[in-house]
Amino acid sequence: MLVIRRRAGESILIADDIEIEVLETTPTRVKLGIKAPKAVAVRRKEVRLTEVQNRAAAEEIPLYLLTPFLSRPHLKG
Amino acid sequence: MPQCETKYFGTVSYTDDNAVEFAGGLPAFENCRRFLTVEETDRRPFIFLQSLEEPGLCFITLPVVAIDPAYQLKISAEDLAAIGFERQPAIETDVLCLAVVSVPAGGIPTANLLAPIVINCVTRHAVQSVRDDSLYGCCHTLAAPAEVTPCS
Repeated sequence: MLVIRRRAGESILIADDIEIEVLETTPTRVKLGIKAPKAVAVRRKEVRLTEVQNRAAAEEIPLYLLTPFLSRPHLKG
Repeated sequence: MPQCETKYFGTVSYTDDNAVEFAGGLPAFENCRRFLTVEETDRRPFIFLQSLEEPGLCFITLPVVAIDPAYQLKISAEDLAAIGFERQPAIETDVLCLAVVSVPAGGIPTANLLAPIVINCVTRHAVQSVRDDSLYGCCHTLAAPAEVTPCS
């Protein structure tokens, strides 16, 4: 992995047409600005993880696999 | 009463009270907007989210509180606006909050607590809200519910 130190206001370039600028930093968060061509999908990694997860969830799931997790009969107070 | 072809339960009748509308679809399924929540008594606590547009598309979900009773919602301002709230809604009272279940190669189901599906209980507008923190993971392994001794 390439590691580059940057301060707020500084940028890095990826290829010719993608620019990532550090807009603001706090002790816990970094705010980034990203300029990229429309054809380049820019999204948080968590969104990508959820896309992968949703595709897996859309597969046929054998319902018997759910059996151990079904509610046990109990009385409500 | 309208009917819908489902992936797991054949043809079911439904009312609009059970329909759900995702204005922006779901991640990887952006064009799928209308779903139905299907609850079967003998499949509780699972809730099936059946596409009204694609009979072959059905997500199996669990209420997040069935997995973690202390689950803390954190919805971005954009997602809140999509379902008509200005502040974080209360789970179960204002919104139904569901985690999508998938089954990895090992065969033990996991639930996505990173990106709960949040449904406005009144308008039935919904969004799958991907969190921007790392409090909960996308592959939470399900644990069998504790045995509850039935009163005899």
